[in-house]
Amino acid sequence: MAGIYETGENGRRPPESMYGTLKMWEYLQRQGIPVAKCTVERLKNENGWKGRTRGRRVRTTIPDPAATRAPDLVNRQFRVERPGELLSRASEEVISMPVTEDQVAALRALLVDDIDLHKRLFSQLDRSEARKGYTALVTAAFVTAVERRFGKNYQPQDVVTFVADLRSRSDRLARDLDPEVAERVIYTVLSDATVQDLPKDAVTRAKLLVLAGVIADERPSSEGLDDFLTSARKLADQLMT
Amino acid sequence: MNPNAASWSEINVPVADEQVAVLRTYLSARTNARYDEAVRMLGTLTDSGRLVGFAELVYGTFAAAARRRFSPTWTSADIVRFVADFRSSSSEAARLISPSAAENQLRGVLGDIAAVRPPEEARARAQLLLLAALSASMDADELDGALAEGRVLADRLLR
Repeated sequence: MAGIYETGENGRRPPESMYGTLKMWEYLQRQGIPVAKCTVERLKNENGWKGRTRGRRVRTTIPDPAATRAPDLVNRQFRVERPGELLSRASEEVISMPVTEDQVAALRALLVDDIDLHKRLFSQLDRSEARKGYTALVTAAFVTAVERRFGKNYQPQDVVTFVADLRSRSDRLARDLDPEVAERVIYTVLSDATVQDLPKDAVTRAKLLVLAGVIADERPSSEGLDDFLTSARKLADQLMT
Repeated sequence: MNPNAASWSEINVPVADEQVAVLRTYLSARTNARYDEAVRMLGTLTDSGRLVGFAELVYGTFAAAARRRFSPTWTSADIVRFVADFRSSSSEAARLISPSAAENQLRGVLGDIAAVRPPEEARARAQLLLLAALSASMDADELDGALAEGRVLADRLLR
């Protein structure tokens, strides 16, 4: 094989140097050289020999060198003493990360309707943090806001009216906020309703819009909003431990 | 297809006066006694097999009433508030009617081609309940006018 894949004294390679593993194996069989295909593959890999393949090499992903790498939650330790140990170890690492200042700042920007700032701050969040910590913060803020808005002595009509008033503020809200999803997410706080059968993105959108609606109605001062977010952050940290 | 003469003639029969009378009684009922009378009249229609066309009459009257209420111009907020006002009138109303189905039904008859068609059961319930809500503020003449327009539309659908 070296005589085929390596350049000869004339500085050239024979036509058989274009053979890939299969064709090379077939060629060797014709030459009376009994060898396994995997042996051909191994020798090619060990020596860096490659044939000429048809078609262009398709590159499906191009990694961004500036992107943050996913954290190694188990420190390259893959052997475990018992089943499930690796999963629980990874879960503890992620769940125990508290809410960060950046996540609070991103949500605050959304609640004061500074959408450009919110988008910029949100895009700068670490991806794994955004998935866990920010989601927990939004949920905690939503729960706190709904409890404050409706209290313990609410009537079902209060929920209907609130969602309708919110959706009536613009055509976009009327279109983007599903009334049934919005009412149900509110009831997950006020009663034992669940939303597990609903699409996750619709639930998240409803929570954010309801939260923003409650805050818009309250019109808190800057200090009031900071106090609210501090309470939400404490609750989020509790939810994540 | 070779339907028998009886069923074929049923399909082409326009809305009957007694069907209009049943719907009128139901929509104008303001007491339990009057409501019970409407239910009894509907039962008589059902038992005698003369219900064909009633669903079309309900739809036609609903469309007529909606256009009277919201035309010539309407906004999404108008629709949202109307449905919410009806649903918040009682906890039962909130439970009985799907807000999405109700809003889409109204949008559909008002000409919004983007309105999503709800499932049949939700659609039928929404039509009847919304029609009751729309007609609640009508006087007798307005109700008769909506029923007459609804009958014309229903006859067209049944042809």
